[in-house]
Amino acid sequence: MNRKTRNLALTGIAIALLAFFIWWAQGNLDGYKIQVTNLVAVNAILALSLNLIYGFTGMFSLGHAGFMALGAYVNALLTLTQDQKTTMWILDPIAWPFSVMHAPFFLSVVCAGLVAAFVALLIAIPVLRLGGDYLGIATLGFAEIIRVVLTNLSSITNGALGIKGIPGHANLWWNYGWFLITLFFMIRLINSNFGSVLKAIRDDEIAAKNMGINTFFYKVVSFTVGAFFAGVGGALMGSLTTTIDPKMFSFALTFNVLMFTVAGGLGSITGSVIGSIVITVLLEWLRIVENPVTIGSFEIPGIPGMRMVLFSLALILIILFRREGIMGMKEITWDGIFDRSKRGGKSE
Amino acid sequence: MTNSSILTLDKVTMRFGGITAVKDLSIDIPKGAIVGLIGPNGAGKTTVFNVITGFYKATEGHVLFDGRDITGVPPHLVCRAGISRTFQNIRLFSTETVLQNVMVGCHVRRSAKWWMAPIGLPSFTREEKAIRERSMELLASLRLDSVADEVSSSLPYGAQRRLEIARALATRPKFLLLDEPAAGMNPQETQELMGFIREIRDRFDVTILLIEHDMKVVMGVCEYIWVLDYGEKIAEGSPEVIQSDRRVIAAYLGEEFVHHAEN
Amino acid sequence: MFVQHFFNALTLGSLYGLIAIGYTMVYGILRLINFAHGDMFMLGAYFVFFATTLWALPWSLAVVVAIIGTALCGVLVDRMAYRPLRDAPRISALISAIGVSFFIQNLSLVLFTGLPRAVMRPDWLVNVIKFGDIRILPLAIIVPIVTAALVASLLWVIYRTKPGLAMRAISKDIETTRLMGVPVDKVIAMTFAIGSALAAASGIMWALRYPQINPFMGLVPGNKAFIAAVFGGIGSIQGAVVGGMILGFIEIMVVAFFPGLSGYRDAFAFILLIVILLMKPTGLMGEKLEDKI
Repeated sequence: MNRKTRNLALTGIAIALLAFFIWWAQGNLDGYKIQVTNLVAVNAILALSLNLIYGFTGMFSLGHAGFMALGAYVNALLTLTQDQKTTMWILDPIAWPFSVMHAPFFLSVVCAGLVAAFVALLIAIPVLRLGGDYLGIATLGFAEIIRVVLTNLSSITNGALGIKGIPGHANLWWNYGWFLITLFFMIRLINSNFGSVLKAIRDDEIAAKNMGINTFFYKVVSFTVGAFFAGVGGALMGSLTTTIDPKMFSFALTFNVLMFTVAGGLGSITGSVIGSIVITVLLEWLRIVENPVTIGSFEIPGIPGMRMVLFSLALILIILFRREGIMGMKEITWDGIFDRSKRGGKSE
Repeated sequence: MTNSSILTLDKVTMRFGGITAVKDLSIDIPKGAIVGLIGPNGAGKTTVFNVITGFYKATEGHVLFDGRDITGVPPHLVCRAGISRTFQNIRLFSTETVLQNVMVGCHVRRSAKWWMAPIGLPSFTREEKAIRERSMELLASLRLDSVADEVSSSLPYGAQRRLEIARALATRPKFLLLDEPAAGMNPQETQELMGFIREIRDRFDVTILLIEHDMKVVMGVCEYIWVLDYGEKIAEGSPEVIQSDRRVIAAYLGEEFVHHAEN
Repeated sequence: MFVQHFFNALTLGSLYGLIAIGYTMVYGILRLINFAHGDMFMLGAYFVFFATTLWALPWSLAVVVAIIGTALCGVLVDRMAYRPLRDAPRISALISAIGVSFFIQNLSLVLFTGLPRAVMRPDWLVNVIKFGDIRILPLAIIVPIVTAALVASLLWVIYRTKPGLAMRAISKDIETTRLMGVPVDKVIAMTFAIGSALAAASGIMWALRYPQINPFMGLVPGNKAFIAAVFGGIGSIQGAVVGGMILGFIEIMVVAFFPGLSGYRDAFAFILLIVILLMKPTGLMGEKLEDKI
């Protein structure tokens, strides 16, 4: 059995195991645990999308929350029925054609991604000429502008009141399905020569230009594709929580995604997945400090807000003591696991 | 020379604010030659490279390549037209492997589009494979095939310089600019490099323009030399002519030294 | 009406300008966007609140305590979160800065609670004065005067004193300055102290003008002040003040004359930022930094 067949078989087995786990989880885990498992998948999609933009192409983008917001709103508008929309829009009656448009869930999520990608394309063309910190602050600015617009366009978005009762289609199957699509896409892209081109732009843009790479074009591609998956992630998240409003998509959300990506390792696909699992579980686990704890007859009162304090402290500590995150730029590959003796090439 | 010339600088002037880095420079490089551009530090040699490769747009004058005016053409299109270069302060893609560095160089000549990668069309996979094989051949010809999977930044200095040349060749250039290729090399490596430069010219059918401070290299491989000082051409000619040129010696060693030598 | 808008804009612009100075000084020296700077502004306001309520200090003394306290916090942030990363890629320090900002906000939320607090305001600052038809808060006159005085003394420090000379030298070339025997880390600490003190001053005056304070109050003015700094040309103190003023005037005047756009008020600054970055990335008064090939 050659290496390629073996890797394909192993991938098949891994997917089958995941499917079995999902089937088992639906029958045996309680609602809270299922919710956390769902969050892991959605967060991994988001982490991968930011990693494409920042980790692999080196563009410091702080606009993720904006793209997620677009995705979540598009999905909400496409999955709610006309009746639900007309009753919910209180500030302004909902405008046509938003009142009547409707799509099945898969298509709706694709549209969510496409709208986010389209807006990203419009933003990218002026903004990606900037480098480094300026790009970060400009993308942050655009995310804020998107949020302000969503708050004010109440005939489409129901304004500051947000949207409630979004159909909760995003179950484990959907979320992990989309996660696998994203993962597959990323692995194929990054392991191809186009992935090397993106990394070349990150490592040395000037040299990349001299090697005949239209760096601006590839930066726009990376940014737009990243935004597509951010939109997908946002749509799934909206469907998962069933409630969205503009406040939800503040800079704090971008910060969370940045945390998954940095903790996992910038420039590592497996790192993003591991980072999302670890941080999502950690964030849930930290809820303990916010709840009262009873040890024997003592009751330690919970401290509301302490969770985010520890969370931001964790980010600072990671940056101070393990800047490269869990994985650095390394990947876990089938070849890496099974051919330890040989120097590993990447899996095809 | 005009008929067979591959690159012509026509009265190129480059100014930054009030500073004139290159002044009224005209150069004509014949196809298939190995030629040199020398001069003291700060004479404007690298600026000339940056003008040719499209990083700076000449304030005045024109750059003609293969009969086409490429003044102000952006760097990636200059490369596509057939000009490639190395850098004075090595600029490899430091986190990528040696092989990946060269494969990135192949990118400019490929026909597949990025979105074909996730889909994995057979034509795409075939092209990827061809690029990989071609890159391995290039590495072999520069004796780097044994380190193909090492991270480029982990290579010793001399090997990094060779890798830069391999990467530049991967773009299939007709014209290759080498910015101080011998800098930081030991005498043995320098000796090898001189051989490499000639071999590359013959094997890949390229014209080579190099900037170099090591006079042994310059005089050893260059057929024709231009000398810059304070952005102006002060001499040109064959190595023998340059070696005995009074203004060149003055520019390098100072006016006093010339007086000494003459007395 | 116009005169009132004018003074409102002047006040807002001064407050933005004072915060912007801290961003511009730190960026000029370390090439770091100090995300936590907006939180210094918030801390300044809270320190006054606690000094007057908990310790029952008189207002004027509370202001002094608050400014010194905030300056120390700024130095502490640099020491703990930025100094260890001086030799790291700049993006690491930036992520650290974002982390610090969230840390300070959330810790404040835990310690101070999220309840909006009302800050004590001395009567002489807030009793409206009437000039015929025009009603003006004394504050609206005092804020620009205080700002002008602070900026003038800062410029004096930077251009006329030895530490100021050291700061300018570090912003040109940190390594060479270190080799010249300048205690670079101390000078940087001083820069953080000055920047934070000015942010505190701005926060205190902000709390007088808009007396409800909360742990997230630094976020929006902080972002806007950073934009003001970029607009004015990052690295330039005069630019920061001018940028703050322009931003203050645009916000007040657009809302005053086009009330329909008031919902978009917070977006103005970002639109302005993107326009300036695209037209003149170095800002109004900034110097160009060349990429070396």
